[in-house]
Amino acid sequence: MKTYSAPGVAVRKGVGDANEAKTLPTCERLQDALKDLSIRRGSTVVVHALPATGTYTFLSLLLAEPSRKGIYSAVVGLGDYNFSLAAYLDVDLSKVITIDPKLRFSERELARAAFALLDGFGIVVISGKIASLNSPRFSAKARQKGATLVVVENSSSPKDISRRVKADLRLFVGRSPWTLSGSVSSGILTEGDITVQAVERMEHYPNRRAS
Amino acid sequence: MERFVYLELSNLLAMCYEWGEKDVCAILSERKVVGLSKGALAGGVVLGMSQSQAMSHLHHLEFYPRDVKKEAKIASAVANALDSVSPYFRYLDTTSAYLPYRAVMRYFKESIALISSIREALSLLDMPGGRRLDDDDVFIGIADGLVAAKAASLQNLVIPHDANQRFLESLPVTVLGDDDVVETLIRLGIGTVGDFINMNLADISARFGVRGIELFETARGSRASPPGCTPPSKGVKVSFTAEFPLVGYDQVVLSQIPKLAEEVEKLRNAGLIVTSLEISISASRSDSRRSWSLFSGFDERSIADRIIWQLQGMEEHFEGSSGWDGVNGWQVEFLDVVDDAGIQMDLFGSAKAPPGMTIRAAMRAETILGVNSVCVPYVESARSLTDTVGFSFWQEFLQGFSFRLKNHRGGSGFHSGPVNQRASNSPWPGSIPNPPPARVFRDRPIVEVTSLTGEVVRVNRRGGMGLSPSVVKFPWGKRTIEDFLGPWLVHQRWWDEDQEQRFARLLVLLGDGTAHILLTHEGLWYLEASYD
Repeated sequence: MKTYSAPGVAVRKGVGDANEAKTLPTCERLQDALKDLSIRRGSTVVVHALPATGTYTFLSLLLAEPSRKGIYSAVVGLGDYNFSLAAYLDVDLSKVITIDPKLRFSERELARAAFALLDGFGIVVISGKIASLNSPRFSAKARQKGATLVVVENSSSPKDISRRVKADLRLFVGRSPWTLSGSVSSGILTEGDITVQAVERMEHYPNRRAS
Repeated sequence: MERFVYLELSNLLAMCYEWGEKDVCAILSERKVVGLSKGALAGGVVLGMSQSQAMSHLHHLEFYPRDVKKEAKIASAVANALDSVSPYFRYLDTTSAYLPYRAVMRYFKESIALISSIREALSLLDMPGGRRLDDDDVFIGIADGLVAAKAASLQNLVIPHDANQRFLESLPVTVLGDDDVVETLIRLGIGTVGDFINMNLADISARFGVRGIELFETARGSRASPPGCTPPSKGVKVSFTAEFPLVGYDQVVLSQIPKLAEEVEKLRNAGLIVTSLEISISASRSDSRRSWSLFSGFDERSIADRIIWQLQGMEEHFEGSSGWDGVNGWQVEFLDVVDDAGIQMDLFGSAKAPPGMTIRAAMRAETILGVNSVCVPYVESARSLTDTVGFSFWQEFLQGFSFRLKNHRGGSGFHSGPVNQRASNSPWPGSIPNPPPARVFRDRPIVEVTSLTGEVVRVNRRGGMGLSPSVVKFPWGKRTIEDFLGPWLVHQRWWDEDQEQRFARLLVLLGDGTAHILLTHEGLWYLEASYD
């Protein structure tokens, strides 16, 4: 994994043990991508997702280390998220809950449930549509309870990227192309590198230029 | 519900410490009152009070430290006497024990006969100072469930089966326990068990979580506490044999704690705790076997404590400290093992049961979305991608139901019902090899796969493609295919007409660097999954 840009940070590492307790534990792979960045507990992190750009892989990596450290996570409103990938990337699924994807709920109902889950879960992952129903209250509760709110903003093209949810940290995930592997036994696909661009609150968005 | 005989010897500690009728004394252990004289009891002091609370009731109350050896000696004498009535007594502490009713009634036939036998056996005991236990000192209650039996013992009652629920409902809510939930219930004006069971279960679940549900089930009589006794032959055993008789045993017992901890930890990892165990001790001149119960669950240290207590009792009672030749060995056997939901709460960072606040938050979400809406995912082998992830209900996961739920997994769209039998370790030819795709689309959007000339690509029954796929038309736009793998045919459940599936898969790498799994069935192409 590589990071080609990290203009903003939530917490800089190396400040001391106190900061470590306040930050979310991250696995080695994710640390490589985030470099000197770490994610503060109680913060709102928006992950911008274009189709098949590594966002769900990034999300799985984000849940991996906390689940191993006994932190419980909730994933709400991401009906297409494949938990097999999470397990493949070493997420302890016994520390993850979700809403039964076979049941249909309105976004408002899911938002109420996610709001309740912030009371007791270390990480709550929700979709951008759910967060946008009342994002200031979500962020305020996450901050109050010390839970990390991860908002996955799905958009089909770069033009559609929404910035309606106010985030402490905004992550743009990209990945290099997939290639076919030489043999089925080594996996049918060869994974490319994941890259992360981070923008902190009040910072300019990547690629935005003054005119 | 299982029926129990509950026995309380209220005056035993007073005899143990040789207090008289007029003495106003209490035994303190870890700043809590654990024993009282009759005078202190009459003054309104109750067991479990803190030192300052007890002082506020009776300012002239005298406090004494606990003398475990003294208590062990007298408890050993009592246990010996009770063994002559039945070998199935289980001891909660020095002064209280219970007996599974069914275990003894084949022999005694009538409750009265059993009660008389217990009283007679205890009345023959020689207590310190030449005293004897009389009928006023022995309280015996018989009822369905331990909570009702304990309450019945306070008034020496035998509660018939058909009156059990009415009796339970008339009791104050404090009989269910003495924790925060019960205190809150009292503050909310819910004074009796009857008031409590008239509450809405969803409200109890949302407000009090698992502990609330547990109390509700106990109050309704649907939860036996303790749960049914399992046959000892199925229990876990931890044993120790000394090379030569050990006169001093405390340190040796404590040195066995890691061995006990190993077994306790194994159970914990399976979401279980042990609530009853049997300790058998072999000494040079006598043997002792006693069952112990601790409904909040034994840990290694509390087991070691019981071994020491029992050894102290043997040393003092059976053999006398001067004639004590030492212990040859002991064996601990776990009798009752229950799931530890709601009992063994740990903080964040623990690999054990979820913390209380996590449980409560999930339950609140379930109150909003409906029962069994919150799930814990698990992975299993399957050919269909939607079947590779199953979902256990959170409530059942919490209660230790770690087995996979039947009839509760993702539907694939090509069969009407789920498959009930799954071999998890089989190779599953035709399944998607690793890495798994990140997104699996349950509603499978229709896509169009065409050749360079714009003709729709079709896969024949033998898995051949007449045209080379070049373009995929997704709902969000057209993409060119750079490379592809397949198609490979999947034909499963051919033996069941309703559940038969026959389709072909194609892995495509697109010009934008993304990878997707497409699926074709009866001439149509679907987007099954995407790599991310």
